[in-house]
Amino acid sequence: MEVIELIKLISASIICWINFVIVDIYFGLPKKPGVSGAEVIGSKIEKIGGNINGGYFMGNIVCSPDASAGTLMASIFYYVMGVKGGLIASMLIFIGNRLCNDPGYAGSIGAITATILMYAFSGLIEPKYFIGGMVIAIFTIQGLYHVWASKLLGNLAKKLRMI
Amino acid sequence: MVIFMMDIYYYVISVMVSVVMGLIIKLPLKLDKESFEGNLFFPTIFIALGLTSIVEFLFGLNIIFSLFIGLISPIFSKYVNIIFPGVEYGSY
Repeated sequence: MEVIELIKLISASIICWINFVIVDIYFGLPKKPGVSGAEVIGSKIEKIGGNINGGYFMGNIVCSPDASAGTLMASIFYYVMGVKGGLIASMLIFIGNRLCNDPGYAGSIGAITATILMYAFSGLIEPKYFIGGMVIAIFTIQGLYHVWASKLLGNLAKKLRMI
Repeated sequence: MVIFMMDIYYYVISVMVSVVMGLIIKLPLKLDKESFEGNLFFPTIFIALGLTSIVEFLFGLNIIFSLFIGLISPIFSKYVNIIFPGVEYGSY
């Protein structure tokens, strides 16, 4: 039984990782820093040997609730309230984006796509696995090793022709 | 099968009324990812869906609430740059 739970957790974290990275790259997080804090984080990561665009991506994640926080909040609201919780989460994420000097496309659209994905997988993977999976997905970007993560994000953004 | 338990018609009505109201008050049609101005689809549709689900959670839905949300969400979208503006200081 534990093996099945572990497989569910890992697949939920892969789904969340793909969702938030694709949405964030599409809405231009690696292109430029939104606020000066993100610029500081990006140049710091470049100084320790990483990629500057991946650094801007990570700084923008820290400085404003983008699709990463959107996916996490949508999974928590989905766990509590179902699909309409995901809709409420996207509206609250939009307001939070605007308070952090961000136009708000990445956050609210990321929350909506996360809700759609959770509804699509609701027969297989329960929402609680998506909460844990999103925490793991953010940990692989922000916590594990910044140099490799920023290089991976920069290469992905280059592959998708967004920088 | 959560989505069939909620009153999906009221959600459709509020989104459609908000888009029609947005066309009447001449919201811009073009999506601009950099801009802080609202347009016809963003954030109008997201505000309409979120407000409808909050109202369903708090009071339960009916047609008056749906029409009212369809009325106020394009107006919010028209003035969103005044309500939640972007700042000049420290931004790039």
